[in-house]
Amino acid sequence: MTMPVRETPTGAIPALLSELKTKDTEIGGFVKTGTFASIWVPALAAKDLALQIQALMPNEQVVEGPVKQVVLAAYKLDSVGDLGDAEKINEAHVAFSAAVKALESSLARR
Amino acid sequence: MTNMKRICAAAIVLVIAVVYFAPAGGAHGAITSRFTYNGEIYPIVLNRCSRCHVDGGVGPMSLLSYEDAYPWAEAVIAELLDAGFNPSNDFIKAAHRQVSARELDILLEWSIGRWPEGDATKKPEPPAPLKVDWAQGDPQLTIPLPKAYEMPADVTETTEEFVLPIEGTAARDLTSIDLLPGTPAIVRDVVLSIKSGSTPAKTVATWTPRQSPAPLVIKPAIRLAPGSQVVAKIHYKKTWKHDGKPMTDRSTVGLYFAK
Repeated sequence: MTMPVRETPTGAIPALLSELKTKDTEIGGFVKTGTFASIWVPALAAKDLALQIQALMPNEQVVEGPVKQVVLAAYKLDSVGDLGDAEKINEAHVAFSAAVKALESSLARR
Repeated sequence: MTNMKRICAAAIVLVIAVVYFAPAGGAHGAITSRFTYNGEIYPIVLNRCSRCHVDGGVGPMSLLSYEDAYPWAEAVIAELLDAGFNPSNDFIKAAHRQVSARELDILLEWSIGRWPEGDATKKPEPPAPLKVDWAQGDPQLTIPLPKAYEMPADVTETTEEFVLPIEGTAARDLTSIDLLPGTPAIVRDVVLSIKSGSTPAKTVATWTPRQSPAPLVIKPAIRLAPGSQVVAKIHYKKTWKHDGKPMTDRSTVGLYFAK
């Protein structure tokens, strides 16, 4: 008896990626306006989106690196957002945006 | 209006003004994690951290019981984030990068989310004990330090070199080498070199504590002439647990030869 193939719902990953990119934009807006206390909400929502994308992949390992970077960057944003240090928050957002782009590139190559 | 009433009124106005005009707080409210130590955290730390973060291990704290782990939640956050963003090849950072994305999320959310213990009926058995064993089975030749090294109480970190004669009258091909730390809590890393005949000592491996110990393979094999020696340069370091205390170590080098 063969193992059933896990079907990837059509459009699910692109929709999740689109939502992830929206979160990145949202975070960028908060960084720009100095609304640091609000950053954690889209940041932690974003890492959940990245993990959901990974869970939908036929081979989760393919995106393990980029998803891990999104998770790290999201929690980094959460931790520095609490401190209100604009420079650190900006650096963390740059890293987060780069991680999102890396995940997007990784998905584009599959 | 009496003076006292004026003072009270002024104080009330001041408090209202401070509250109304105060800047919004930077930190968000506490969130309780959906993950618990007994449910999700313990399996991860058992699988990923138990060689070092165990009583007697090289880590500064055990993570193998809830009581031991939760006080270190803030440190766990700081260390996992630092390791993730730090490309250093330091063995500690490298080890802390081994967790998967999902495991990282669980550990960080638990640490931020008030570290719930979880279902008491699922409490782990008494914590796994310290494991000290050879990575690839018993060596063909073991060479302990000639006597226990005594690390003084006032020394926190030092590197000591030990020259260990290799017994035997026949030439042999050395294919791998390993180390069994005598006191794992203080043995951080060991540079192992071979001195054979008149040639200068050649570094063949660096041993570090690992969650999954792997053989230190020597390729190509080194031909050991009779009278060869192992040079073990042991880096000792105490964590806060042993700082200020005298410690001893009698590590053992293990040699594997071609059959």
